[in-house]
Formats: sequence, structure tokens, C-alpha cells
Amino acid sequence: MRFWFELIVKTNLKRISVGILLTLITMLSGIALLMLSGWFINATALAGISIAAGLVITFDMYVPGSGIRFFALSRTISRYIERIYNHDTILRLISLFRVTLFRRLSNMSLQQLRESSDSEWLSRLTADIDALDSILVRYILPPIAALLLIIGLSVFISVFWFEFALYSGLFMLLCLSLSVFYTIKSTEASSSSACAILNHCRTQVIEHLNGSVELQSYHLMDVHQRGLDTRLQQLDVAQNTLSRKTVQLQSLLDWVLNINLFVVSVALLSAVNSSVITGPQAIMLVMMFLGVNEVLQTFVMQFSTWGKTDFSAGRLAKLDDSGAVSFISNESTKHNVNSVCSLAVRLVDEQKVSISQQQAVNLTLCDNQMLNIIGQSGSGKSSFADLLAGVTALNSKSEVLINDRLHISDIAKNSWHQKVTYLEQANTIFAGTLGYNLVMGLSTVDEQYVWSVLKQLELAQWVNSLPQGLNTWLGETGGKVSGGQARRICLARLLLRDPQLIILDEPFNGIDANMANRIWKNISPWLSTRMVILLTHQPAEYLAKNKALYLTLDADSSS
Amino acid sequence: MGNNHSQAELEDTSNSAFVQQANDKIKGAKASASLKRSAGNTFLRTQVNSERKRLLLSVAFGALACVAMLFQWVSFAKLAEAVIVYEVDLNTQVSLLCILAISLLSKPLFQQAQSKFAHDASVNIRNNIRQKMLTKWRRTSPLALKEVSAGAYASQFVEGIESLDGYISRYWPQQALAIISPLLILAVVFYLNWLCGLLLLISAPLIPTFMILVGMGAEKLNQKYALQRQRLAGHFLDRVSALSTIKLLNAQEEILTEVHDVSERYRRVIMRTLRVAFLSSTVLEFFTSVAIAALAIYIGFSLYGAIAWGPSASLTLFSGLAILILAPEFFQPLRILSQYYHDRATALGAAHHLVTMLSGQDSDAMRKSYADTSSNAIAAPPATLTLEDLTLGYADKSVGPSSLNITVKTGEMLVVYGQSGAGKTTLLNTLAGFIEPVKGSFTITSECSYGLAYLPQSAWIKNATIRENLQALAPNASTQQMLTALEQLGLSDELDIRHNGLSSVIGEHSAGLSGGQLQRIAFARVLLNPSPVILLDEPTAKLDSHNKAFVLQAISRLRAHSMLVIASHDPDLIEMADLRMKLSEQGVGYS
Repeated sequence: MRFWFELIVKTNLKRISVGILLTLITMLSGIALLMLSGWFINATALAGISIAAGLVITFDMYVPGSGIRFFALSRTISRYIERIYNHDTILRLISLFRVTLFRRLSNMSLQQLRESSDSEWLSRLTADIDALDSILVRYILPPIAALLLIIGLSVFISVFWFEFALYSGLFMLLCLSLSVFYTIKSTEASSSSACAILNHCRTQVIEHLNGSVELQSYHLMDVHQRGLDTRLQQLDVAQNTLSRKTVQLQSLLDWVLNINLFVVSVALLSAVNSSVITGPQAIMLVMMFLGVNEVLQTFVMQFSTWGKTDFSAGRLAKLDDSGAVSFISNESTKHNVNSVCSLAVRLVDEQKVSISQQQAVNLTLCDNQMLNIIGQSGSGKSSFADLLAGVTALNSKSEVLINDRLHISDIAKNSWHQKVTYLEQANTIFAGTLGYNLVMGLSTVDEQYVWSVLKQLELAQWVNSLPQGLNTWLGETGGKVSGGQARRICLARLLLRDPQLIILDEPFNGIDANMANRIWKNISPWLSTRMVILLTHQPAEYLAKNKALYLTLDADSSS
Repeated sequence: MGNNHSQAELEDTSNSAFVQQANDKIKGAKASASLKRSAGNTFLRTQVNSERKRLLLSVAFGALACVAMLFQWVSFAKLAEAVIVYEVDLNTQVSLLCILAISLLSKPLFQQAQSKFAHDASVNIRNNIRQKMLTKWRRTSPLALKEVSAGAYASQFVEGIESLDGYISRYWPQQALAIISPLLILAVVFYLNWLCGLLLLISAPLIPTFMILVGMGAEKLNQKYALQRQRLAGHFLDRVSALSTIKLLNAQEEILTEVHDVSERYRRVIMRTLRVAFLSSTVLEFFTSVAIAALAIYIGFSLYGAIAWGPSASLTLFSGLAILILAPEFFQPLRILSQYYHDRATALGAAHHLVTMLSGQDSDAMRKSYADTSSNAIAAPPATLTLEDLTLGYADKSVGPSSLNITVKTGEMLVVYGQSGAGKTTLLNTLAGFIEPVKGSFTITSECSYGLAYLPQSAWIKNATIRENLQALAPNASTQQMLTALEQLGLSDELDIRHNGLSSVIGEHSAGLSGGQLQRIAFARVLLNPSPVILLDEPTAKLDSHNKAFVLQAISRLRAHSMLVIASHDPDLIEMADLRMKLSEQGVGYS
């Protein structure tokens, strides 16, 4: 958690200071309102009694009266401003967290990213970032503001009764620091273990459900559920411990505060008896403690989430350790490629390309050549494409040699992806406008060229028919595109670039054969000046005979 | 005075207190929205009712805490008056001091009991719902379960149910206390001075009214920016999930700036709505402050003698002080309730999803409750499978050819083959009881308490040790049996050499093992717990010829004591079969 603390303080010190000041003003106004009101009715009561007794005294009712009105207003207004201001800070922080995290994630290798991009991981990630805002709203602003409040009040009291100021200042400080530290100490473990257990629960539920076909056919669903039941019992224990500890601490704190209130009331009233202070002053001080108690009471709850936040912060920190750092440092020592002229591939014993386990797969490809790799589903086509595109790493026996001298693993990924484009099997449509989806990652865009590409892919007419054209919003909150349209948008994205090696994994998935033929004809001139690797189920019909090399991954008829 | 920020406020501006209530009113007009809400509402109410006793106890202790608070301040005001006005020596006021001490010390105890009962109720309810979900899953066809991603179910099971906690343990008791406590306080204030009581009584209904008015304004603003907000909020996740594509497009720097810009824009949009939304809780603050100020000034002026009308003459320092201190306490329960208000909104959302899930139809086949079966020691009794005029399909949509007729006995092996989509897997799912036949019937005699062994196309592998993976479907298998089974499938060498044998962990995404190895591990379970009827879906698809031999051998070994129904287009398996059934568009062929 320290990393995030430092990040917050380093980048937002000024805003935090203002936030603390506003929080302090809010607390002070509330307490001052109670103090002044208490003092006021006592002073007026005494004055009233004196007047009724026939004494002539002058008592200014209007200054304290307007003071009360002032504090009533300042309490409301400062609370409003404080909330607005601090929420603004939180949103700024979340933006900061996201950027920080995104940078870390984009340093991960493609393989790591692919493996972790399931929705469960994503929702965990957001939950973890959201948990971090506790750092500001619970752990930074309130305790510091309370500390300043205690100092301020003690200084104020010391003006008329130094000893009492010393006692109350020390007492409040002790309450604050003990409730903060003791809460952290006694709830941290159970709070983070409750989080951990909930997480185990999640994975166990997923496994339980994934196994439902086997488990139900064997009638073993309830046997397998026992593991989950045990986990739920552990959760019960952890949550009960956490809640018991929190409630006990809260009670203890309330007790201490109340005992203090009793002691203070008695002491102050005795002091009135012995004329150390006046009655109104005594009531004012009791009211002060009433207000301060309300502030101090909140700290057990505020800090009982410490373990949970720490758990989230720890998980986010793990992203750093998962190889991203070594990946980056390796990356800087790697070579850049300026052009890709030839490709020599040798796959041996690759786990996911089954044929390579029976015999080595060799292939070479030069400029302007086209290769059609054919394989049934499950034969490892997409895995082959991933290896060629550098998404997954090769094993030690296999190699991909670029320009006859560079190993693919020695090439810096950034420069490699400038020269190589890869149409993955799955379509990725970003939440954004259609135009945005097409030109993502391009530095210069020629709109006319975009339209000509759209025409080649028979998308132009559709785009023209959209009321907002290229500005139509796609993705979850926008218009839906069909599978075939999505495929062609992804293809268009590649055509707008200038790669030297193109890897197309089932480029016409979801597109009927006639349209596939037409589109292939349209884009052939563009493809003809580059190296193309085309991966398909069956030999591509649209491919003219003798125009391409063939390689099949199916076991029975290997070439 | 405390800091009542919460994450939920951040995520949704409308969470702040009564804005939601206003939202409810607006949405109430829309039938569908209200229907959804009421389903979730009814669900929550039933759950709360099941723990009514504890929750009512919690409320009772909360009310007791309020009574203690009343005694505390009344006795304090009395003491203060005695000492300050009548200049009585404090030592003579033992009984008042005792009341003050007792009430001060008992209040935290009452509050502790209040939280404890509420927490217990919440834990029980959450447990109860989790058990219901587990039971529901046992009774639902696995095919129906697969329609929703396991991750989505898991997050309902974990977060969805957790999010009910705030509603049960905080909001529900506070809802009652927000009425009880102010009434108790009001009664005391009325007794002390009816004019002050009247002032509080008038302000009480005014507060929600103003809050709803402000809330409606916030809702309008909210709707105006709804689409924009939704888009901006989803941006980060969208880009993170597509990060690998972004890297392939070499656009990561561009997206990084974009993430920053979008977060900034999101902040500005949210702040615009927050400015209005926060006004509603400010209304509450304002009333609290103004009530204190107005009462203080009224009491002060009355005590001074500047106000001569109404009940002001009867005011003393005792009643004045008591009223002044009780005024903020009067508003406190309402303020706490408004802090908890987002708990209600979250719980309602979660409850709605839970209802949808729990109310799905139980599958007929799954409704029977099964005894615990896992005795591979007992020899399986012979079985007969008869298909009579069976037509496969989902709901009313038939799949593959109609009218399948065949009889298979123990010791026989039926291979079903045909193009993909011809209904091979559908047949296995029907035999397993996961779907109802469209027409006709099938019977398996001697099913008794034995389950079927079903090995689907893609094997189920847990992120656990190999031993745990095997035990999941063969709970009684011994270590020796496991080792033998792995040996028979050619796995024991591969696993022992490269890993730690049975204790080696199969990681997330099955890292470290090939598809063929995983398939054989799954097959080992069938060997360890063979049932009279064994269904295998493409058992050899991911295997090279060397490893396929192991599986074929194991299949012929299983054949001695069981009946095998295998869906496959592997010529070797078709060759091995006693009975063959070819499914195609033209119809069914037997051989």
C-alpha cells in the first residue's frame, strides 16, 4: 500500500492539504456551533436570573446570536464544499491510478495479457482500483484533520484553563492514535483473510460450475460441493472474527469516550462549584466533548477496512512482479527490424501445434510470396499464427528466423509490430466511433484512403447509410455490428497500415463465399507486394491455383 | 461532522441519500423498472423475514441505546442546572450522578448488542442464500448452467451476496430506528417545551420533501449525461481487455494518453452531477444546523426574558439545555440512514439478479436427489440401454435424424459417428439426462444409484493437484489405483519425470500440460470410477497416434464391465465398435 500512499502524496500534495483544511473547517464549525450554543443559553439564563433579581447588567445578546447563525451556515457550506472538493480529488486519483496501472499492464508481454484478459480478472482489477480510494478518504484526510482539530481545541481551552487543556488534548490524542493503530492491528489479518477466502470461493465456484457436466452425470455434485462448504465455513469464521473485533473495538472506544465525558462533566461541574471556571464555560466544554466524540467515534469503522485495502493494493502490486519488469529490461537490449524480407520457420514439439510433435514443421517464405496454412479446428492453426506473430514464445527446439539472421525472440516487439500485422481469429471492436476503430494507432490518416479501403471491403455503402457515418459509436453502449461487419472492420484496420508481413487467421469467418471472393480480388493488389500467411480450414477457394505455397497441419495428409 | 464519503457515492452520483428515493418515484412510472425492483424487493423482504427475530432484537437494542441517551442528557442537564443556577454542591447529587454514569456506560453495550444481532442476521441470510444457490446448481442441467459464464455466476455468489450485508445489517434496522428514535426524542422535547417540539416536528417531514426536490434535479442532470457517463466509465475496462490487440496495433502510447483524457472527462461530467446531487445531503445538514441555531437563540432569548409569549416562561436552564443537546440527536438517525442509503440501492440491484437466477426452472432430470455414490469397489451390475423412437433436440427444436432405435448391453460398445452438427453430442447429453428428448424415450435399466461416467469433448481440469483432479470424480480411489490408471494411460512417466507426480499442481489455464495430457488425465478418472454406463465424447481427438494407443487399450479394458457409448469420427474407434450408428441429414444408419 505504501506505493499508492506515496503516489497520492507526491502528485496531489496541494489538493490533499486543501482537502484537510476543508475537512477541519467542517469539523470545527460543527463543534463551535455546539459550544457557542451551550455557552449562550447558559450565559443568557444567568443574565436573565440576575435581571429578574433586579440587578442591572449589560449582556450583549446579538454578537453570540450572530455567531451561532454564522457557524450554522459555515457548517453547512463548508461540508458541501468539502465533499465536492474531495470527491474531485478522488476522481483525479482514480484517473492517476488507471494511467499508472495501464502503463504497467502494457509493459506485460502479449502472452501474459492474453492469458489474463478474462472478464473475471478484469472485474477483480477494477474492484481493486476502486478499493484504493479508501486511502485518501479514510486513511489520510480524517485522521490528519482530527489531529489538527485536537491541537486547535487544546490551544483554545488553554487560554482560560491550561491544566484542563493539557488533559483533554492528551486524552483526545491518545484516543485518536490508539483507535487508529489498534484497529489496524487487530482487524488487518481477519479483514484481508476474509478477502482472500472470498477470492478462493470465487475460483472454487467457477471450477464447480465448469465441472457440472461430469459431476452431475456421476451424481457427485454434492460431494464436490463439500470443498466449497468448508470454504464458506472459513468465510463465516473470518467474517465473524472481523465483525466481533470491530464491534468490540467500537464499544471499547465508546466506553472510553463516555467515561471521559462523565469524568469531564463531573470535573467541570465541581470546578464551577469551586469557581475555577464559570457555568457557561463548563457547559461549553461539555458540548465540545460531545462534538469531538462524534468525530473520534468514526475511526474504528474507517480503519477496519485497512486489511481489505491492503489486500487489493497487494494484488495490484503483483502485476508488477509477474514478469513485466524483466520483460521491459529485456526489451531494451533487443534489435529493431527495418524490413522483413524473409522468414524461415522450424517448429519442433510445440505443445499446441500437434503435428510438430510427430515431425518437425519447416517452412520458408520470401518477399511477395503467399503461404496458405490449412488445418482443421484443433490442429493448432491459431497457435501457429500466434507463434509467427510473436504473441507466444517458441520452445527451445523451435525457431523463427527473420532475414536469415535474426531470431524472432531477439527482436524488439515494438519494431516488429510495425512491420507485421496479424488478423486474430477473434474480432476486437473497441468502444468508440467507427472511425476511431479503423485508424487506431495510426499517426497520419488520409480520409480518402480510408474510404477506398472501405469500398474494397464492401463496407462503404453500409457506412454511408449510417446517420452518423464514421462517427457512429460502436461497442457495448453503441450500435451493434454483425459478425461479418466486425470481421471486415478488423481487416480494414490492417489495410490502412503498411506492413511487410501479413498474417490472416480465417480472414473471412462469418462472411459468405461470394463476398469473400470479391473482397479477396479487391485486396489482392495490396497483398501482392507483401509476404502473406493465410490460415484457413480448407484450401482457400478464392486463392488462384499455383499462386501460393501450401502447408497442411492435419495429421493424416501432412506435406 | 464525520466523514461519510463512500466509494459507492463515487460510482454513482444518484447514490447520495434520498436522490435514489426520488429516482424510485420517477422510475416507478415505468412498469418494467418497477416490476424488476419489486421482484428484488420481495426477495429481500422474504430474506429479512426469515431473520426477523434477530433484526427486531437489533432494533430494540438500538431503541434502548436511544433511551439511555435520553436519560444521559436529561440527567446531565438537571445536574448542570443544579450546579450552575442553584449553586448546589455536586456531592449531594448522588442519584443524578448515578443515572448519568449508568446511562453513559450502558449505551455502548446496547449499541454493541444492536450491531451483533444485525450482523448475525446478515451472516445467516447470506449463508442461506448461498446454500440455496448451490442447491439450485445441483438441480439445474449443466447445459443450462453453461449458458451463463461461470465467472458471472461466481461474482453473484461472491460479491452479489456480500453486497446484501449493508442492507440487512445496517439499512434495515436503521430504517426502523429513524422513526423510533426521533419519536422518543420528540416526546421528551414536547414534555419539556411544546413550542420547541413543534419546531422539530415541522422540520422532520420538510427534510425528505426538500431532498426529493433536489434529488429530482440531480436525476434530470444524471439522465442528461447518462450515455456519456456510461461510455466514459466503461472505457478503461474496454481498453484493458483489448490490450493485446492494442499492442499488436502498436497503439499503446496513444491509448495511454486516451485513458488519461477520458478519465479527466469522466471526472468533469461526474462533478457536474455531483454538485447537484450533494445538495440533497446538504439539505439535511442545513436543517440540523438551523434547528440547533434557532433553538439556541429561542432558548437563549427566552431565558434572558426577551420573549414573553408562548411557553417560553416555563423554560429553565434544565429544559433549555436538554432541548439544545437533543436537537442534533433528533436528526442523527436520519443522517445515518441517508449514509446507508446506497446500501439499499446496491442490495436491490444484486437481489434482482439473484432472483432471476434462483427462479429459473429446475430440470426434471436433475430434480431427483441423488445419494452419495462413489463406490468403485462394488462390481457394477449389468445394464441395458434401449432407445425407442428417440428424437433428439433442445426444447422443441429437433437436432439430427428422428426415430433412433437401438439396444446396447453391458460389454458392448456403441460408436456414434457423423458430421459435426449431426447430433452426436446431443445424444450423449440426452442419455446423461441433461436435456429432454423431443420425442420418444430411452431407458437405462439398473441405473439404481450409480451415476453415469461422462467424458465431454473438452476435459474439465481444476487448478489443483493431479490427485485432487482425479479425486473430484473418483473420491474413493487410492494412491496406488491412481498411479496404475496414470500408468495405463502412459502418463505416469511423463508426469513423474517432469512434475512431482500426483502432487504436482495443474496451474491456471492448465499451464505446463499439453491438451493431450489433460485429456488423458480426464480419462484416468473414468478408469478409476467406471460406472455401468460410460459416455465418451471424442476421447481420441487431441491425441497423437502414440498416446491414442493407450486410450484405445483402456477403452477395451473398460468394455468388459461397462456399456460404452462413444461419439467420435475416429476410424479406429469405429472399427473397434460392436454397434455403430451413423447420424446424417439423410437419416440414421446402423451397422
